Amino acid sequence: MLEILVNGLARGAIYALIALGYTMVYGILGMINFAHGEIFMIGMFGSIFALGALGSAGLVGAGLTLPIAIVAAMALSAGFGILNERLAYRKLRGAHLLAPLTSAIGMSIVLQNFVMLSVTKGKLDFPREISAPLAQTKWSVGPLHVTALQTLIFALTMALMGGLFWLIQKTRVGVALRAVAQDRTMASLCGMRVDGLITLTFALGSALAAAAGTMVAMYQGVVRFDAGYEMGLKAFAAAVLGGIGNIPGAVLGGLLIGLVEDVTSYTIRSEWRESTSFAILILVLWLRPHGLLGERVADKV
Amino acid sequence: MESHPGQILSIIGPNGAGKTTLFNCLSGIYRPDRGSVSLDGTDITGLAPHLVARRGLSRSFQNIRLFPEMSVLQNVMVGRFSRTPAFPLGFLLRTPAWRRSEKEAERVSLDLLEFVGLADRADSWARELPYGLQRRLEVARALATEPAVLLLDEPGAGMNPSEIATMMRLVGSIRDRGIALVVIEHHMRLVMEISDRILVLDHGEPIAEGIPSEVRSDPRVIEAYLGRSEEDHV
Amino acid sequence: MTGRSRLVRRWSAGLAGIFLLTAPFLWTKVHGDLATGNVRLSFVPSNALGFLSVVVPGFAIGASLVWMAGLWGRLGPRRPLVATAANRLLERPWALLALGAALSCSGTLMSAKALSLGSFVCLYMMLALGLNVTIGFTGLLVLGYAAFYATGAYAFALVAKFLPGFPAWAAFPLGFCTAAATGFLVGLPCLRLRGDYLAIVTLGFAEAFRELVRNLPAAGGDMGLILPDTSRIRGLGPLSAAQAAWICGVWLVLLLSVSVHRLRHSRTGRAWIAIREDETAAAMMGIPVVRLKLLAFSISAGVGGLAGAYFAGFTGFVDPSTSTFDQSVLVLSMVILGGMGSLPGVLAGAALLYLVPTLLRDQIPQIADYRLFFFGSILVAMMLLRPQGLLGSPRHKLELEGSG
Repeated sequence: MLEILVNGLARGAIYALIALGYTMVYGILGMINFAHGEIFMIGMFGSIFALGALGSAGLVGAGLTLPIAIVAAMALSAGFGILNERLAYRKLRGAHLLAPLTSAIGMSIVLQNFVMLSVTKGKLDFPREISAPLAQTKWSVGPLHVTALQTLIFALTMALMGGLFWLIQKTRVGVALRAVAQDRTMASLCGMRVDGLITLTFALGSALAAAAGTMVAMYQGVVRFDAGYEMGLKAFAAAVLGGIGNIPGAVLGGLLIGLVEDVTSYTIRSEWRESTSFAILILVLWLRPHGLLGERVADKV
Repeated sequence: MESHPGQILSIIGPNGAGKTTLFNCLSGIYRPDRGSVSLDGTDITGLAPHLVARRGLSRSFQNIRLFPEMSVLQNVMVGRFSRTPAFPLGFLLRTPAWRRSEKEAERVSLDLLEFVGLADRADSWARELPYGLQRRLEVARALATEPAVLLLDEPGAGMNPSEIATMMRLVGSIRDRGIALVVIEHHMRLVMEISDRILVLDHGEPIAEGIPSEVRSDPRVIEAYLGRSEEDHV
Repeated sequence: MTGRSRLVRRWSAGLAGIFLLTAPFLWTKVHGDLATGNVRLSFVPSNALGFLSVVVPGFAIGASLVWMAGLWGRLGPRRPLVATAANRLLERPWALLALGAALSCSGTLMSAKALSLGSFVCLYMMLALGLNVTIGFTGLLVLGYAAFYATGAYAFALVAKFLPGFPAWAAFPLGFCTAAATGFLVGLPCLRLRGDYLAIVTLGFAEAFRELVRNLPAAGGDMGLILPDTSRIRGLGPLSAAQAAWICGVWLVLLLSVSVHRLRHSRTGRAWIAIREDETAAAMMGIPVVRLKLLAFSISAGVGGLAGAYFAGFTGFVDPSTSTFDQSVLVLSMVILGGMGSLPGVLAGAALLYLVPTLLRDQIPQIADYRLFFFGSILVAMMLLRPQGLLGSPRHKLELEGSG
């Protein structure tokens, strides 16, 4: 039972990282970034590219290559996130909701198919050299058994989320981000560079998703071009569950969905794990659309 | 607060006093936490906007909210929706009854455009109208719903003196038709001249209510406006 | 810095950025070593050639089309020519009858291949017309339209399976009604949601429907169902089945076009446009917004189901692939490309986006993989460059762009 908890929390932490991207963009633009799942997928591929490049250069050894790979993946995804914002969202900011939604869906399709067409229709393997030792090293803390990989996932996600919270709450940039999220016009009148801050939001969310992507790639051992779709949906459900626009909400939502998924998969039926998140989404939208911790959107009538 | 047919009640107050919020509560866009709204004796508190409109309360908006892709005439015809019957299959087969209903809606709409002085622009696109005419179009559209009570949110905003004079005449004609008017305005001259009663709001609370001369000399009103020269806008 | 040089700098920065970002995907290849579990990256420029050789010409053609449409709009007559002509045509029943008769007769001159293409064009025109009612008229984004299409198709197939001898002509009302009912049931809880949530929920519904029919043995599972011959659209007298299917398709499209046109020019249509343009103002003018959204949704779904029944009728076959995301995206792209809200636009978009890929695929088989990529690009490009679509009105563009 304890193992299920640990597993579920690990998954939940991943979902939380991705959900943060959805929630931050929603908080600042009032829109759902449909292409965020693809950004996650790009992070997965990015980590493999980085490891491959390092491998070709003769550098192997998880201690050195993995952190570099994660950073490289985050940079790549951040780049795509910025591209996404500039291309699909910036010009359409004041428009009827239909326009940026359609554009977002378009970007999602373009990114997914771009990866499929330029890399492979099949799968890429994550270097077992790196993931295997981590998955196999097990530690016992009392009745609890955790693998080094799970520990890494926890540690990294905690570090990243902690970093994000610190940024948002304690730095000037964070204050600026919150200001833009609450009242964009006022923020720009106060001299803040709204465009740059919005770009930063996308970059941050994308970087987090890439870190999650690397973790998932390690965990699953394979990456596919369509990995973003399902993960995106789950993370979206997590963001909505916690309250869209609400940063702690995204974390809570992610952890909850991770836990519920694993619990249902063991207690009810394992085939239903995938539909759990969609079912939760429907339930939330039906019963409590503003989520557990409440939405954070600046509304204007 | 009460409003009566053939009477103009003006609501004034410094910015942020809650005037538009009040309108939103009356028209069903917001649900009030406390208090009630009744129309002709029936309670309409918290009713959805379209139901409020059907009961006979309509309004214009502070930031003009016309339907930009439609023509001037079509904008007004939208207002006729709740006053025309549905023809589930009639529209498909273009039955004589349907045609009559459409013609009638068009006629009534054109009459209203005539009333507000826009009859010659019936086929222009709403977005292309000059600002002052757009405000008049909004009034015509609201009148198309055959309201018993009409809420006008800053009908004179952003207008030059001659446009304001025209608007004043229009508001007067609406009053003469027996409609109860509630008007939010900042132009004091407009307010003082046309109002039968004035209600003053500040920080969401009513601070004075009465006939124009009373309100004008009320010390609380003067204090609320102190430091803000709201005499006459340009 | 002058405006132009700033623009040049921005553009070159953007292009450089895109080049850098896409580089690891395009110009490299990943080799996995199964033995050591290691991966290596190698620089393989030829990898990019395949991709670029398709995408660059494709984008070039697309850009020229949009540019030409813009040129036509600026240099051509003030009022949109095609839209006005189409509107006038739709107002004259006799002209439409003549058109229908002419198209029907031409069926006798068409080859089997042309008839099949033509029938599919009719099918997609119907789908585009249906989707246009929610997206174009009412402003609701629906991402799972294929679900309603599949509902109609499966409804017909299932009824035909259990009631042999069920005639094809009865399939159309059946498809319409089942899909409309489904749309109603799905819309009831969902139409109160925000636009983006609604889109996702419809997407989920399409996926759920697909899973349902895949796992239901009665519905043929993965293999789908084949319709008995008695229920398919059959030849009549001297006409072959293919010709009958074409004629049927033509008349269905004409019928639907007229109906949708008349719907648009009634108080319901006006109310829908009002909802699209400003929901709150529309409600304040007495329009029951949720009820009308539900109506639009149901009618849109019904038309999709009608198209589904037609599909089942002339191909004689349904399977879970009718409810895929691919199908939804295809119809969405047709509506967006042609011009949402514009009847002639969506019809043109349907014809264009069915014929071009299909004909190209016969010439260049590899291009099939690029279909979705181009559809996605169309969605993004149209929103950025010409939101009103190729044949939409420029006024609609202003509304879609808002204040920017």
